[in-house]
Amino acid sequence: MKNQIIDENFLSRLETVSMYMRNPMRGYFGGAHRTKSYGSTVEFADFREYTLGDDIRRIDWNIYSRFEKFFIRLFVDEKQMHVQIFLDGSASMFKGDSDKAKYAMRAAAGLGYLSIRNMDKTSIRVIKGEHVEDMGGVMNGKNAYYQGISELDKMRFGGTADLGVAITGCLNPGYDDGLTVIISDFLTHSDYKKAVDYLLYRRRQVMLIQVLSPEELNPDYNGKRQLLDSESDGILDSRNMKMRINRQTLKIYQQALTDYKQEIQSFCASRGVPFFSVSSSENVEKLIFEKLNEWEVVR
Amino acid sequence: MGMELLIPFGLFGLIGVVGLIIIYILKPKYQEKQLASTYVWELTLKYQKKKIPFQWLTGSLLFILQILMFILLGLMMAFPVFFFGEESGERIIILDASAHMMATYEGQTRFDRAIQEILALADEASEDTPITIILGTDYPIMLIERSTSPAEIRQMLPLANGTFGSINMDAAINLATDVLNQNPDAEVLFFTGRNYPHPGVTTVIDVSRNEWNAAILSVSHSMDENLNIFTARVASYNRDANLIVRLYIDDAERDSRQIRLTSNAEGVVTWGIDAGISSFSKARFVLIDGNTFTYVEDSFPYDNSFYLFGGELERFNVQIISPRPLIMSNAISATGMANITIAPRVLTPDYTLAGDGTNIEDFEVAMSGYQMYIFDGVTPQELPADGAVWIINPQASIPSIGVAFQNIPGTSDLMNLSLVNHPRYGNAILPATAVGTSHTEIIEPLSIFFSPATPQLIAPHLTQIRNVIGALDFTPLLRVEGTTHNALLMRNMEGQRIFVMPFDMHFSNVHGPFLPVLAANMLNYAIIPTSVETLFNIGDSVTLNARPNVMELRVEHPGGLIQTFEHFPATMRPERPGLFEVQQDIIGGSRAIDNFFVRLSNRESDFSLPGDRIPNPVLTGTGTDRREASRTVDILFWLALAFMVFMSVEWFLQYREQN
Repeated sequence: MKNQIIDENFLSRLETVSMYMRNPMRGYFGGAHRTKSYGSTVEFADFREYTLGDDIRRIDWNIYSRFEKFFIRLFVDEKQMHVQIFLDGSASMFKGDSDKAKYAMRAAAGLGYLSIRNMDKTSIRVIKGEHVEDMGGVMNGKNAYYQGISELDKMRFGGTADLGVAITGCLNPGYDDGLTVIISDFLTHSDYKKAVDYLLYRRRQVMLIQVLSPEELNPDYNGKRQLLDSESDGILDSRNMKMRINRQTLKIYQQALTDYKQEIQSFCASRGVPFFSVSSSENVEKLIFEKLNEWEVVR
Repeated sequence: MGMELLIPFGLFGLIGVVGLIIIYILKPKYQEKQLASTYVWELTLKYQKKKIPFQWLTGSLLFILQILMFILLGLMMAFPVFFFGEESGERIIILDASAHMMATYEGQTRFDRAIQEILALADEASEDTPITIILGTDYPIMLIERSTSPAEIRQMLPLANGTFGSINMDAAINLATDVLNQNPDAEVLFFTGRNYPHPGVTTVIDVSRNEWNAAILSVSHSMDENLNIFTARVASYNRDANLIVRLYIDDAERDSRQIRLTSNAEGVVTWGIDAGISSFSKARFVLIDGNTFTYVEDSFPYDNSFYLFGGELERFNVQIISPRPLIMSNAISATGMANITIAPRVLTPDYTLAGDGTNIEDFEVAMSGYQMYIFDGVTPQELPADGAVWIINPQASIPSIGVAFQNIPGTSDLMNLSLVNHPRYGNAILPATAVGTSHTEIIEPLSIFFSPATPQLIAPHLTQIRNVIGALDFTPLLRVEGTTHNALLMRNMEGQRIFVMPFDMHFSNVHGPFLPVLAANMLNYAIIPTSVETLFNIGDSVTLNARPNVMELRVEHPGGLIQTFEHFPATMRPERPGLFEVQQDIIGGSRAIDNFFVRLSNRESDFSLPGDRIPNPVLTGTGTDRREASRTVDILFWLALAFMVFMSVEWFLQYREQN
């Protein structure tokens, strides 16, 4: 298996963990996610008094002999979830630092693999402008997964990405059937909050991963600079700006960045949505095995 | 309180600000930086605006600092000083008495107007507020010093007169300084009709009105291919003028030229006159109103005419007493430099030397009325009453000048002449002098005979010479080479010049090329001019020489004043502009009249001319000027300090920006 996003070592490490849903969801038949409802697995869950219409084969006769009442045995139910990974495909994810795009794709692939390994359905969807492009459609099984990843590998970043419009307008966002992961730098004026609220309204479990490059985290340039936004339409675009950057300005930058991340964090916390801000210089494994594990998204 | 720039030209340093702005405009300002997103920088900008108000100001702080530094440098170069001393009430009044103050407006001169205004101030004189009045002339006068009495001022001030000179402001301020040394807080007032843009601590009170002035600034004469070219430079100040300049030559009107001048403009009019005059003695230029054809009626009439005195030579009357006068008469005629009337006294053909000499009274010889008398081979008993006297080959002693002559044995041998060690020229070989141009030194032409550069000329020599006895008062000019025998002696006797040549010219080659040259210089040298120059400025020293045996010399001033002199050479300083006439009665009953013209300074004619910087008084012992003594702050140090601070801040900001 040769591609730039995943390799065998990465996948073999992912074999050691599983993805968990924090909230019980309806899901689909099959799958490996336990739910609080009772199903037809072999694992015992509880007893319940027999009511008319219950399958008499489930009556526990041993208990009847002791209490002379009919009780039936209940078993744990397991469902299949649909994990949708929305990946920001705008130019800001690639230009300036291609590691940022690589990190985002690797994280998407990793999470997708965890999902596939959990016998869940997986979709990797790239946001471009106000639309969403599916990479390999709904993947079910490893073959479909590998095919989807190879498509993802060919994907080119460019243009803008309106998270709010694209996610709320996409087909088949799902309803009460799994996890939606949004991977972006969130350095955009688009309304990501609207997307999150929409997904929550769809009773989806949501997780945000912000990927920032080291240069965005700690700018190492100063002096008089004309800053050109990779998504700008030309030199006169209002996103381009002239700055006199000095030590004081850099301090303020750090403050602004911290506040912005804090704002996303607060928003997510108020809705029970996990939010992770990572540097593209870090390993994706650190995200999956430490941060997601900390939040018990994977175990 | 006020501020003054002692060197306003220093403000030219502010041009550097323009240069700085141009540099800032031209230099590349921002380097491009490609970023994935500028979203955080947008937030940063909002934070900056919230956190640091006037961010635009801090962004341009370096530029602002640099402009401030340039302004400081410019100010420092302009040498600013602040003064905030309060006046004590004492006044030092400098009254401008220069010529332009004589300009009249509605019947009153600027000077009279200033007097009136000062008299109004005189009432405020008291023990606490004394008044000093300095008359500002070429040589300023302390008219009234710290007077506390209005009555005294009222009595003294009308005695002051205006002058036609200029004001020596430095000297006037020096006089004011004497008072300021006693009270540094005294106020200095300067009453003048001129605009002084840089008055310093002096308060200038302008007493001018709407005066205007048309003036002839200068005139000249030259010859160009037999044309007499006359030019006059004229100007009109404070008014446009239509002027006519009329030219009179020897009191006869010759021609007029019209010229239109805008206010404060100068122009030149020129005449080329060929007929009628080969020389002239006096040319007069007069300004006429081009509209009314009358004399110009401006506020200042003293420069409306100008005189120029020509090169017409005085008519020489020369009397030659000689047995053979042709040599001398031809020599004098050959000079061609003057109208010469030769009055030879030819001796009878049967003339012979008799005994110890020939008595001059035997002949009809005039002893007065000539400008030059040449005695050749005859000896005068008495000297003529006037004119120069040239005694050649005297045959007897001359008691009136105390000299006698003695034959020298063996002088028939050929003897060369040599120059005497002259006090001015020594024995140096002198440059050849053109005929007729040497007015003061008769010895000069002799040099051509001694110059090795002219070998074709034979050195003058003679064969017979007589020894001169008793000639201690004479200056030897020529001497027989290698001997002590003088061949040419000269003496000044109260304006009468006497030459003695104790050898027979007929037994020498002196009468060859030598004599015309010598004669020409002698003619020039014979008559001492009444005044060497004919054009003077107000206040110039004029030296007047009297003619021989003239006892009294009278000078009539333009205003009609008669001044007499009895000791000569006499010196006078003209104080009024115009034509001066010098009269002297000479022996024989005739009256010699000479003229000279005294002009005004062009600066005084120019009413539009701003005054020079008025110096600030420097008080004795303090080493500082008057303002400093009266709590003046020289802010140069503080400006330099601010400059240093700004420079340090600028360096710091530069460092911070680059690190």
